[in-house]
Amino acid sequence: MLNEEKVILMTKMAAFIDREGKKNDAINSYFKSDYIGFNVLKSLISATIVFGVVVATYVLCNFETVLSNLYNTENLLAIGRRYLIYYLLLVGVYSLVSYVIYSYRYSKMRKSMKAYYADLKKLARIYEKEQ
Amino acid sequence: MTSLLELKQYIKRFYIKYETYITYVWKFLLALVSILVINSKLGYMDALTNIAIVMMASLLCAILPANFIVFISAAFILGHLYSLAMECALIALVIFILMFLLYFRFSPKDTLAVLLTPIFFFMHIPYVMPLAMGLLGTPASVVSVSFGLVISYMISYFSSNATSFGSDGVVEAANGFSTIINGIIGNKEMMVMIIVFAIVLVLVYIIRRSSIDYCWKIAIAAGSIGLMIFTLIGDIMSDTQISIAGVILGTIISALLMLVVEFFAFNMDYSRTEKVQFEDDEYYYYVKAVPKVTVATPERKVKKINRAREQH
Repeated sequence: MLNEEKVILMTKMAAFIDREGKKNDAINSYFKSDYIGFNVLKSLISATIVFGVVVATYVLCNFETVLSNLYNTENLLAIGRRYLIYYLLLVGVYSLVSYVIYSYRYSKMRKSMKAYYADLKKLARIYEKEQ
Repeated sequence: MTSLLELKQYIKRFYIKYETYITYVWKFLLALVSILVINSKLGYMDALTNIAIVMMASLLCAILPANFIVFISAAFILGHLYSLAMECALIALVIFILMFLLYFRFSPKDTLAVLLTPIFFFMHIPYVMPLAMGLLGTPASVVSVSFGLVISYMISYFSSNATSFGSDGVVEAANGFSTIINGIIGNKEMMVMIIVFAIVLVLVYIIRRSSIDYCWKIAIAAGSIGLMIFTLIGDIMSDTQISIAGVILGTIISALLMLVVEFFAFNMDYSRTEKVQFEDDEYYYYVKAVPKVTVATPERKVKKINRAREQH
């Protein structure tokens, strides 16, 4: 005999896993600090690439100014310092934003997984009743 | 109104029933339209304008995830620009890389907004985007719409200045590079549009989320009026040549389109048809769970006209 309640519950859970499971599993396999740390690291790398691309574009645009600055050592140091500040600013802001976003995502995932585990418990109870 | 509601229910039921196929169709059509728009604006590489290639790319987009359409479109843009001039392709590539690294790592769902903005832009109704994303999206969509606008203005810049590119030598290429960047970033009209769209999108979103009656209609009206006024203000302040008649006409058309969107989207709480497989100790289950379609019939008010007679 088919247990209708059980089928409904299992369908709901299977649908949830189909929709969210892969994504949530990927997050769930980390501790919170590891997950956030890993993603902030990724953000750091992409911010570095972005900075590199922007600087390269700037250099290509203002080729002559940059060339003349290259021969002027004092100027070079000042410019280098300024660029370092820009870089740190970009990386800082970007990491902060990704920290906020990924912590939010992690807690959201935990919440939905909790609901899933509650369903799992309910299913186990149905099984117990059957036996 | 009742027949309209019935039509809505009918369409909804039809959509839920044939969802899998309809998804393929709309992905195919969206890919086709975006590639055709790109080809008509920047058709510099003959191989890419070949109809067989276009069809194949669109079919590929139909079966792959929706974000692939964005990828294919970017590839087409880069291909055309590459055959126009190396530096043009490089600039487009830089813009795409920045877009991908800075933003789409976080919200891959929003990429379609970036694709739709240029399409509506070249249909002369970009005003649809802030209204639609305010109604259906979140304030974070501001970034996608802005990127979409940047891409639109980039494409129109390249297509209107096509003859001036194609230089030889490093110095000329570098000069061309800075000219292009100044041409794109220094476009005041683009800045005005980005700011106006951002303000309107947030405005529409806030009104839509509030708990007043008819909030969707009020949001659409306020958004449209805001679009016109802010564009006018921006136009005067930054001395750009935005055609006001075009803005007003486009906004009205967009507002009408939004009323259609509202009709279908409001109160929809759309849930998908789920097809799942699982098993327990005794059975294999192949379940298709179809969401219930609740018919929202309007409340009928019975008005008695001949009440005077009842008192006799």
